[in-house]
Amino acid sequence: MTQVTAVADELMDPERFRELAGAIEAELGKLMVGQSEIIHMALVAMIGRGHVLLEGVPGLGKTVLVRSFASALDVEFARVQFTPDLMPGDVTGSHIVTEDDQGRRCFEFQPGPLFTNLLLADEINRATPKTQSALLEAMQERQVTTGDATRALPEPFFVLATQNPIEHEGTYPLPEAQLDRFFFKLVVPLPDGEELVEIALRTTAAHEVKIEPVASGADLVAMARLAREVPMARHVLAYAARLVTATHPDHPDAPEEVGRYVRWGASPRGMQTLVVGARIRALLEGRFNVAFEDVIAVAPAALRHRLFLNFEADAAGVSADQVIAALLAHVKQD
Amino acid sequence: MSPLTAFLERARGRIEHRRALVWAIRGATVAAVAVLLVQLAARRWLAGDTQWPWVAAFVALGAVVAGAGWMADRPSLGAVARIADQSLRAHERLATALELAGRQDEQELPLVQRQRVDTDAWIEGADPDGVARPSVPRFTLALSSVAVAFSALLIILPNPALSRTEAARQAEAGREAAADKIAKEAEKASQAAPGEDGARRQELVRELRRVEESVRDAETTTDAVAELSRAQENLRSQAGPSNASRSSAAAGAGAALAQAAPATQAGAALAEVGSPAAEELKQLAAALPALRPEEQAALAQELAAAAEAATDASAAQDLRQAAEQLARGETSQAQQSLMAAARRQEEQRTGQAAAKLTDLAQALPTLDAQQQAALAQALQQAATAAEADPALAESLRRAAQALQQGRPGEASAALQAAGQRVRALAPESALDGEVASASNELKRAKDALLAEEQGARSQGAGAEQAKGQGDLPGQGEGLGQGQDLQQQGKASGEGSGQGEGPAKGVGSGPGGGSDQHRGGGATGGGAAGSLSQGPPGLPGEQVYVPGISGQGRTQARPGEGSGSGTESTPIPYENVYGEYRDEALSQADRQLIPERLQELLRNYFQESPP
Repeated sequence: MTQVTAVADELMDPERFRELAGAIEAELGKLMVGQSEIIHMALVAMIGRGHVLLEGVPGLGKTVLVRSFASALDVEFARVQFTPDLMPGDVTGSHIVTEDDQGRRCFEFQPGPLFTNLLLADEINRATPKTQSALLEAMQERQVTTGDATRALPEPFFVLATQNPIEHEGTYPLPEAQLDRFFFKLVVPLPDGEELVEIALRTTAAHEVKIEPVASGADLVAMARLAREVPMARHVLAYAARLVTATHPDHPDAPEEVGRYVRWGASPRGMQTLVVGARIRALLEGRFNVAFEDVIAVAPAALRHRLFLNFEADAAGVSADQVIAALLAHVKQD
Repeated sequence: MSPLTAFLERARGRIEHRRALVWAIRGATVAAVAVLLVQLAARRWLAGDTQWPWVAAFVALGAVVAGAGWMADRPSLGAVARIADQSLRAHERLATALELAGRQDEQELPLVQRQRVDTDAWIEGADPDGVARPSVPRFTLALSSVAVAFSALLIILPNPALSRTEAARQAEAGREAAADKIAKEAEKASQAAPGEDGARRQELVRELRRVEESVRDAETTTDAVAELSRAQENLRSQAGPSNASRSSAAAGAGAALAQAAPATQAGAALAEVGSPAAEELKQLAAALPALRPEEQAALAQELAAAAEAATDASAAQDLRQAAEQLARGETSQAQQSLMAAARRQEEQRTGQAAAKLTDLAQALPTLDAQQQAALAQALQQAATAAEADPALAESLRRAAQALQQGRPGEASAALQAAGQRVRALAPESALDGEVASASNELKRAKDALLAEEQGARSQGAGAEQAKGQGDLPGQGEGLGQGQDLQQQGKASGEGSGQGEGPAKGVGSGPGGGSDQHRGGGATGGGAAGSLSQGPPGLPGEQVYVPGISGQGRTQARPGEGSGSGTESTPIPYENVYGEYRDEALSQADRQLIPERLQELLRNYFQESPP
C-alpha cells in the first residue's frame, strides 16, 4: 500500500501538473476507448481528492477504468463487490481472535478493503444502506472507526463506485448523504459503432494492452495542492454560488425547471466541488485563473447527483442533466 | 501604469465612445418620442401654441437623458475588465488579474505571479479596439427615426386643434367686444333724465349689466347669442308699443277734447303730441347707418336746407348740427343729433299740451254750467280715447266726473294731473329711445357674434357663404298706428319682406291690427318693416325701432269710424298648426341655428301637437 507521508513544501510546477495529467489520460486512453471525457472528469475528481460515482449499464468498462487508474497511478487498488449480504465489517475490517507469541488469544483488527488507495465499490447500490453507510466516514473523514479505535486511511484515498441505472430489483438507492460525498457523478455513455470496433480490436487480440504507471499517489496529492492555489475572481465565485443557490426550488432566482422538478438542491459541498473542479480544469486548460467556462464545464458532474428530483420529474422523464442545462442557461454570468 | 491598467484604460475609452453614441441615440429617441406624443396631444388637448415649450422641454430632456445616462454608465475598471474578458474571450484573465492586483498579501504567491505574467502576455497580443466594436442600437435608432418622421409630418400637417383654439380665441374676443359694447350702453343708460320713470331705467340698466356679465362669462358664442336674444326679448317686453300707445292715446284724447269749445286749444295742443314730425326724425335717425354714403350726403344737404327753413332756433340748430355731422360721415353723432331734435320736439309739444291743460284747469271755475257740461262730455270721450294710457285716461275721467257733479275744483286738480301726465310723455319717449338703442346694440352684438361664428365654421368659404346669406329673405317688423283726428282708429301692422342684398330689407305685407275704438278686430295696412341695422349678408331679424309709427293705414267702415278694418274671426289653432309647424321647422333648418336649438324645436312640435 502506498502511503504518502510527506509532501514537499514547494508547489508542483503547473507545467508538470499538466504533463502528469496528460500522461495519465494518455495511458488510460491506451485501453479505454471513447471514454476520454469520463477519464478526464474522473482525473479532475481524483486531483480534487474526491470520490467518483460512475453510473452506466454493465459492460461499459467501469471496472476496467477504475483498475486502469490504479495501474496508471501506481497505487494500491481494492475492489469490493457490493451485494445485499455484504456487511459493514466486510468493508471496514473487523476484529478477529488470534494467538500471540505466548499462545494467548486476543483480538486483532483485520483491516478491510477500505484500507487501500483506490477502492472500487462495484455496484454499490446493491448493498444495504447499513453497509453503504459504512463508507460515509471513510469517504469524508478518510478514517475508519471500529469500536473505540479510529484508524486513518492511506493517503491518497479514493472511492470509485459504480451503479447500474436499470436494475432496481434488489437495489438500494444511495441516500442523499452518501451521494453528497461523491465529488462527481459521471454517466458512462454507450460507445458508438467505431468505438465498439476499436474496443473489440483492443480487447480480443492476442496482445493485451498493459497500463504502465505514470504517476504516483504523491503526485496526485501535490497536484491537488497546486490546484487549490489557482486564483479565482470573486465574480466567478459569485457565479458559482448563484448556480448552487438557483438549484433550490424556493429560491427567487431559480429557473422554472428547478421550481417544477427539483425537490431539494445542492449543498455547500456542491459549491466546494464546483470551485475545486473549476480550478483543476483551469490548470488542465493551461490557465492560471478560473473562467466561467470552467465552472460551466464541471457543473453537470458536480451537481447532477446533488439535485433530488421530485415525482413530477420522474413522471415527465426529466433528468437532472436537463434541469442543469436549464440552470446554466438561466443564471447570468454577470 | 501596469500593462493591465493601460490596456483597461484604453479599453474604457473605447467603451465610453461607444456608449456616448448609444446614449446620444437614446436621448434622441426619448426626445423624439416625447415630441411625437406632444404633437399628438397638441391635436386634441393642448391649447394654442403651448406645444412648443413642451417640445423644447422634451428636447432638453433628451439631452439630459443622454448626458446623465452616459455619465452614470461610465464603467469602472473592473467592469471594463469583465467586458474585455467577454468580448475578447480572455477567459476572465483581465478581471482576475485586476482583482489580484488589489490583494497585496497575495502578490508573492506563485500562481498569482504566473497569472499576472500570463495576463500580460495575453495583453500583448490583444487589441483594445475589439472591446467595443462599433455597433448601433438599431431598434432604438429605428424608433427614433420613426418618431422624428411622424413628428415632422404632424408639424407639417395643419393642426385642427390649433384652428379650433384660434377660433375659440376669436370667439372669446368677440364676446368680450360685445360685452364691452353692452357695458358702454349700460353706462349711457344709467344717466337718468328728469321726469322719467326711474324704475324702468333701473330695470334697463340692470338688464344690460346682466347680459353684459352673461356674455362675458359665456363659454360659447351660442350661449352668448342666446343670452343676447333673451335680453332683447326682455327689453322688447318693456319698451316700444307702450310709448306709441301713450302718444296715440294723448293724440286721441286731444281730438276728443277739442270738440268742446272751452277746451279747443288744449285739445289741439294735446292732439299735436302725436305729431309725426318727431317720429319721422327718429325714424330717420334709425335709418342713417343703412344709408349709402351718397345717400347720406344727399340727406345732409336736405337737413341743412330744413335747418335754414326752420322757424324754431333750437330745432334749426339741431338739424344743422346733424347735417354737418352727416356730411363728415359721423353717422352715430348725426343719429344722436336727430334724436335730440326729436326729443326737443316732443318736449315742446308735450310741454305746450300740459300748459294748455293747466290753463284749462285754471279756467274751469269761470265756465258756466252749459260749458262745464259740454266740457264734461268731451272729457269723458277723451278719457275713452286715452284708454291706452290708463293714467291719462283716469285723470280725464275724474275731471269729467267732477265737472258733472259740480265740483270744478276737483276737476281742475284732475286736469292738472292730466297735464303732468302728458308732460311726462317726452322723457318716457326718450327712455324708450334708449331702450330701443340698447336693444339694437344687443342685436348688433349678436349679429357680430353670429358672423364670427359663421366665418369660423366656413373657414375660408366666407364669400360663398355671404352670398348665400344675402339671398335669404329679410324680415322686418314695424309697429304701425293709424291716426285719424276725427275717429280714433289704431292698427298695429307687421310686415315681412324679402331681403334686398346685404344692407337692408324693406318689407311690406299684410299686418294684423285691431280697432280698439270699436273693440272689434280689424285688418290694417302693415307698415314697412325695416332691417335698418342689419349687418350685410346676414338674415334679417326682427328689430324694434321705437317711435316709428303712424304708417298703418286704416280703412273706414260705414258708421264705425274711420279707423276700421275688415273684421276678422278667430282661426282655430288646429287649422294653422301644420302650416305653423312647417314654417317654423323650415326657418329653423339653417346652419346658423345651433343643432341643439333645432332639436329643441323639433321636440316641441313632436311633443305638443294641438
